[in-house]
Amino acid sequence: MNKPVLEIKNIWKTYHVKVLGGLKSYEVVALRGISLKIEKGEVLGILGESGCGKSTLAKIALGLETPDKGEVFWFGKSLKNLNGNTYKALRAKVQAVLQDPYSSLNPRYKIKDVLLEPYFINISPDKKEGLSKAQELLNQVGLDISVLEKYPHELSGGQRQRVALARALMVNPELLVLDEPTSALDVTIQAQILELMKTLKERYQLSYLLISHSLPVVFYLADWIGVIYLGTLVELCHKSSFKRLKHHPYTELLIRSYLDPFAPSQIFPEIEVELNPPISDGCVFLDRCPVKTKDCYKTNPSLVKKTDLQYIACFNV
Amino acid sequence: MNPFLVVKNLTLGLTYNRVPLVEKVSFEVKKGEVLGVLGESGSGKTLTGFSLLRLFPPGISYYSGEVWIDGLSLYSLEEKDLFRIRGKKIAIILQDPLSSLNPVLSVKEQLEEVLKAHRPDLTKKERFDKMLNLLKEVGISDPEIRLKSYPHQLSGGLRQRIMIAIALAGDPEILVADEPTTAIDPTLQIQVLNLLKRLNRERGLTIVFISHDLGVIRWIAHRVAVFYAGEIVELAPVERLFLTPLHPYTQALINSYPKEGKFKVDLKGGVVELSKKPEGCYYQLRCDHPCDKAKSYHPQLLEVASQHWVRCFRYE
Ligand SMILES: Nc1ncnc2c1ncn2[C@@H]1O[C@H](COP(=O)(O)OP(=O)(O)OP(=O)(O)O)[C@@H](O)[C@H]1O
Ligand SMILES: Nc1ncnc2c1ncn2[C@@H]1O[C@H](COP(=O)(O)OP(=O)(O)O)[C@@H](O)[C@H]1O
Ligand code: SF4
Ligand code: SF4
Ligand SMILES: [Mg+2]
Ligand SMILES: [Mg+2]
Repeated sequence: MNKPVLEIKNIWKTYHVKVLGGLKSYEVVALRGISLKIEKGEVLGILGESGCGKSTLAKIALGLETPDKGEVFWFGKSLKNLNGNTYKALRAKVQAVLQDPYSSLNPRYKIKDVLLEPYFINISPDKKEGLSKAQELLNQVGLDISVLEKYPHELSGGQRQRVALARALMVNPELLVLDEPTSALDVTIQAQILELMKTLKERYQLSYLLISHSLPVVFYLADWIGVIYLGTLVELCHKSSFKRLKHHPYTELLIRSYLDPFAPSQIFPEIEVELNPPISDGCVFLDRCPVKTKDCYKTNPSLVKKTDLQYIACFNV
Repeated sequence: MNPFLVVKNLTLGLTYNRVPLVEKVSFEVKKGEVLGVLGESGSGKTLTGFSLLRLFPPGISYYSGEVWIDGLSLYSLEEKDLFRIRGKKIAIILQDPLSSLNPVLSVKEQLEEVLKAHRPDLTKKERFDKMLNLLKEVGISDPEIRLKSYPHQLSGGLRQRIMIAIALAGDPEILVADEPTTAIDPTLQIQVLNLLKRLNRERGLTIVFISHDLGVIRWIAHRVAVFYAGEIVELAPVERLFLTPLHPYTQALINSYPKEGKFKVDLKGGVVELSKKPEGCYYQLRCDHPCDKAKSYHPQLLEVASQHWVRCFRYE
């Protein structure tokens, strides 16, 4: 059987933040023992609030940050003991498309150079082949080849995000890590980009790690949906059974909180839960959980397989 | 009843080359009303929001137009008299509470600073009581403990509540909320929205609520203004706007919202560059059925049905 495209095992990451010019510092635990894997052609969508560790997870999956504990595997190979050449070969297979399409494109490069640079480094120094590949990809992401001669600031947000996708595809990747790829975009443009990502995935058998705080975005693209709360993966559920299964209390709350603009106004939710920051040794969701019991104060539940299509970290589901 | 906030032909833009970014924007908000503001990224929502307090980011300045708040003309006031309005009549809350709160000051120190400025008349004891009341008002159940906290010790939802408490410290009658819930998760978002709704109901707080999120706007607003390329292109009561959007941009906005896990794609993309707006109708290049007049004439915002305003030649 094929090895998973990405596997991460028991990842922990803590940041030490200095304040008052370094006189004081405090710790932020961004990830607490997260494990997950993505098979070829699969999309894992990750939901979670701002600051829960989603971007940290993306950086670790990309090998841009080193975890304090735990291991990352690309195509079955641990990043810990890769030699330089293998790393370089695999590195090209794992590409990123990030939230802000402007800051992720070098403002002094023409789009031509933005696209060719990774090609020269990873595929071949042949300029003619590179250009024809760039033209083919621009065509696929719905851009006119005249953008090759433009600079990033001359393009709109949606166009820049298309360039970022084309750049990632220049090196024939197998996994794309997408961190909030559409949250900087207008909803009319967001819809175009999502549609495009779906088409590209099918055409190239790509796998995605898709990070977003939008339920509809994740629902549109993902095969598996993961939910992170304060650095912990509290649920992993296959989309096919998402609607009919019972979920982790936090997932339930997320679903109920989604404001559907087309619902009749009387059924908008009234949700009141406690608002305390996390401090306890128990479950990460303890302070806000409406169904907690005695057990929940003692330890943080680990992710347990409920069925082939669902994993949950909760003592009471 | 006279409108509480009146904006008339407000125009502002880049300081150095006089390119307008917000053009002849006019609207009125009644006391106790919530006006929702929708529109695409870069269409001028935030700049308009700030200008209601006569605040401008570096490089941006006021060109012309009027803003009246409770009968006072904001742009006729002397600079030194602005303190009578800012924070007291009108206050603002922003998207990211972590970057607007000072990380090295406790909640108490930050609230104290604002209260000293707005209410120099209060004694130390009165000020402390006022702080506790403000925190209670925004739904914080243990205000004594929270006063001692620093921003990083608070959850996103709590930080946003503290921001709102600070904004309410000067007892403003109108609040400009610029995407105040974009950075927090949907469960906390509901709580913050509930809080704003309650303040609107109980205090009669007037709110100008800017957001990208149709769900949020549908839920909180009474009326909605839709921005495109620095102008209002449609203005209508919320139900009307969602059920019968008239402007082609509003229609695209509403149609491309995901329904039952599907997105309807509006294929003509591309945000308009505000410094290179076309002659005539600014939406013509993205319009699904552009009209002939659009090339050379600029449409006006007209009331085409009761309370329903739209800027498009189709309805003239
Ligand atoms: N300080 C500045 N200097 C130059 N241009 C600016 C400045 N601030 C804003 N702009 C420009 O003014 C226009 C309107 O900006 P504004 O921030 O009001 O948009 P917005 O509608 O709030 O967008 P978003 O939904 O992305 O927050 C944009 O084209 C933006 O690039
Ligand atoms: N370089 C860093 N230094 C200090 N703290 C960080 C850094 N990066 C992230 N954090 C903190 O770690 C937590 C998780 O951050 P992040 O992964 O960016 O969250 P998300 O992407 O889910 O919004 C946050 O509290 C954030 O402030
Ligand atoms: S383990 Fe307990 S506190 Fe945690 S989510 Fe489940 S019920 Fe709630
Ligand atoms: S005025 Fe004409 S081009 Fe402009 S939005 Fe209306 S129909 Fe389209
Ligand atoms: Mg992030
Ligand atoms: Mg804005």
